[in-house]
Amino acid sequence: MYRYDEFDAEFVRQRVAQFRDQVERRVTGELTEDEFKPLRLMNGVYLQLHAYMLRIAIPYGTLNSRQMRKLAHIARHYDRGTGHFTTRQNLQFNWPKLSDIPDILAELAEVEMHAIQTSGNCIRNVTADHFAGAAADEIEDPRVWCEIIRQWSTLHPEFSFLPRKFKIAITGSPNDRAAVRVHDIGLRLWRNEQGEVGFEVIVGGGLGRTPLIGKTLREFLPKDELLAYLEATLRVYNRYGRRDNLYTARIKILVHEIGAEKMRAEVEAEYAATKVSALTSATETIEAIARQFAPPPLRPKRTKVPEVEALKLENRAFALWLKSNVAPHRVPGHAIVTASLKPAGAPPGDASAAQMEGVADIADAWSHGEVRVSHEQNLVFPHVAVEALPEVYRALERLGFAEANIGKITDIIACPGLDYCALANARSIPVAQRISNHFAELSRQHDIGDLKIKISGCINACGHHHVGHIGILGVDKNGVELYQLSLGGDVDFGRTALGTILGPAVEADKVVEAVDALVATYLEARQAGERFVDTYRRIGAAPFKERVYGAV
Amino acid sequence: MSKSAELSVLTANRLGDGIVVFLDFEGAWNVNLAEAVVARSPDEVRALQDRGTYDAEHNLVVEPYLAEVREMAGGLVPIRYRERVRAAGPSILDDVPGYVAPPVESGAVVRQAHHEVGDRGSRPQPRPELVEGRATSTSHARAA
Amino acid sequence: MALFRLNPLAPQEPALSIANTDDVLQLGDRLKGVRLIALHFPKFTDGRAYSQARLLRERLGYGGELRATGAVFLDQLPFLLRCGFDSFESDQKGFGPALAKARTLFSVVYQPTGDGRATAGQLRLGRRNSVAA
Repeated sequence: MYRYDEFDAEFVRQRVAQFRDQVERRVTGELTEDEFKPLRLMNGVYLQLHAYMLRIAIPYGTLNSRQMRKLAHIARHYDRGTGHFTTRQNLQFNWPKLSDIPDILAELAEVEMHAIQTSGNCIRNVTADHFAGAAADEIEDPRVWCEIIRQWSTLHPEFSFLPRKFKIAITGSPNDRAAVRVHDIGLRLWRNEQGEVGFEVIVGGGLGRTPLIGKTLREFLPKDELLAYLEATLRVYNRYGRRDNLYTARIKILVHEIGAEKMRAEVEAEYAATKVSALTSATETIEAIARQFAPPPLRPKRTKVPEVEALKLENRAFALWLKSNVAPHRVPGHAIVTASLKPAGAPPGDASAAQMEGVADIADAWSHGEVRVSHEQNLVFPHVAVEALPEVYRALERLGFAEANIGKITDIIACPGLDYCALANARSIPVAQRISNHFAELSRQHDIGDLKIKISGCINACGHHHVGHIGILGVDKNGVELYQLSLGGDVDFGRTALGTILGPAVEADKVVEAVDALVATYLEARQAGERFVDTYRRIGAAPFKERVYGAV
Repeated sequence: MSKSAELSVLTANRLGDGIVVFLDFEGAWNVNLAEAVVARSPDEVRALQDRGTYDAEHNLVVEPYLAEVREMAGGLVPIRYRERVRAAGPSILDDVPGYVAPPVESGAVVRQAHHEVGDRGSRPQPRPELVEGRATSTSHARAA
Repeated sequence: MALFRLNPLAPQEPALSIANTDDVLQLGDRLKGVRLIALHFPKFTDGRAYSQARLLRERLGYGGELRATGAVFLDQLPFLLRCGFDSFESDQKGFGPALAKARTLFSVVYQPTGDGRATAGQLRLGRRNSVAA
């Protein structure tokens, strides 16, 4: 993974010093709250429903064990012992004191971490495929480019006061695990007929109030032109994005209003006029960064290991875990292991300090010290030898992270919701907990198969409900929490689809019954090999609707 | 239940740690809604607003505002749902397998909903303050 | 409003004042001979003038004084300076001393602008090449 050199280290130190000064001036009153708010947001500090919230950047979701241990330390010493992993591969702490935050940032800087631009109307954490560098189907590791963009976008003087936030995602695989088509800019690495690898540049995707799928601006952009092209796109957005209304300020609205053709023309014109040379990534620069992402030296190993086979027969949960939580690695005899942060009944995506330390230990022992954060609020060990799987499984069991439910009905994505978030209309975590508890039985989950439930507590859609196979949106009607169900959303296997609302919103205590009815409809109607979402696409909404509204 | 007179409390977040506070009888910022001073007339409301503005300008609190409340047997209950959650703290269901509740810090109001263990699919008990009108019997006027 | 100019002796006539919704690329001949351009920040969170500044400096080659007016706060100085502003109208307490310190607040920059500062990437290349040489 990328390691800071003295330039990077100096930079974060100076950023911390600047923020310490800004906090000091706020506390003495030299800065008013209005003046301070955009400044604190640029350092990931929110004021939430109950307290401040600090969002720490985990660039492209990659962490080493030392960093994970530091996060555990911060959870324990500055917060209430738990952190929450988000759908953008970041980590949130819900109870930091403002006065402590400069110290927290200083501690993060010691391990090459920060909270820069995790909020505010600027370029946010560039997210990647959480299997990057390990996946069997990968064309190229997208994280090299995430890092190149990260540096270019850090305290970019022209783009720190955009109309709205700006989110970029990159996938290096045809199976898009980074949801690139629902980001402000999505980048897809692909190989053309000449064998060259370049980017498809997709712009104007997003969820929230106005969910939209991004449009392709450029089919094939040579890699070294990426920064110049991004600069052109951001400049068009900064100049022409709407600033009159918070809800129409994203680039997706600009693209929607002027049309993809006009957007492309504007960007290409700006790009043509830019002094490209200044922003062209030198081959040496790319190679130097790429070297830092070189995978650990992994020698091919035996793929069939007697201990694994034996444990599979003895332990049904382990056998199911192999099916759902373990993915193929590009090097024979290795695997990618996902630790489920969705134990039955627990708030999705949370980890205590002790659990974080346990994860760091597992990473050191069996994953070359590396961990990833997925978009689905789980953690990933990217480089595990097959022969180590039994030990990894047992270690995860001790932590409570061994549930064999990845991609299954209890692998729920939920935003923090009204329990924590000042923007929310309804709670999402208790809904997730109840659904998870209801469907906890493992064999049943595996029988139901792949089913992604995504829950948002408000229209801002941080739970990505628009792209859930079952999407649940919490709304507030006259003080009562209601939940709107949608079906058929998707972001997997290169396909992006937005869900369709099923019918009237249901009350909180009817959600589990409703989900039950949906599952029952599927189980009765399904044909061989069909996942929930496949059956839905084949038979349509009517049978589901009938069953749900008959039941509730 | 007939509409009671509009009662308001002044609430804000402490600047230093962001914790939710209410202005109390002694004119201090208090984490307990139960001890909040209630404004019952337009003059009292104005006085609360002024106090909020003053304390925000003096960097004690941020984002002060008035929250409407009702007086019930159990104490003050905010009218808006969001305010009830804000006053009570996160509602994460407790007593579920695999879930380790975070340690509670002093000075914070974090209460956990009760959940019936072992019976998968059973409904957790909603916390009284989150359910409209669930508190029992008559409301009586608080001592002035 | 207090005025801070990095070049206090530079001529200020003829001057041009541009709204942040104007397209500076359409100015054409109006730029000829202009010694002072004032750009505007209606709110400091409205960052359009940063793009205008860079286009004026880097695309159109404007070499006169470039002034930031409106909501101009000292915490924006590192950005303002890098985009090519060299004079500032601000009433904020401490603006003057902050201006003096602003250039050294960050010794490392990651992206090239018209200010000519070497980026971290360029410094790294230079270092690698000199080591190789």
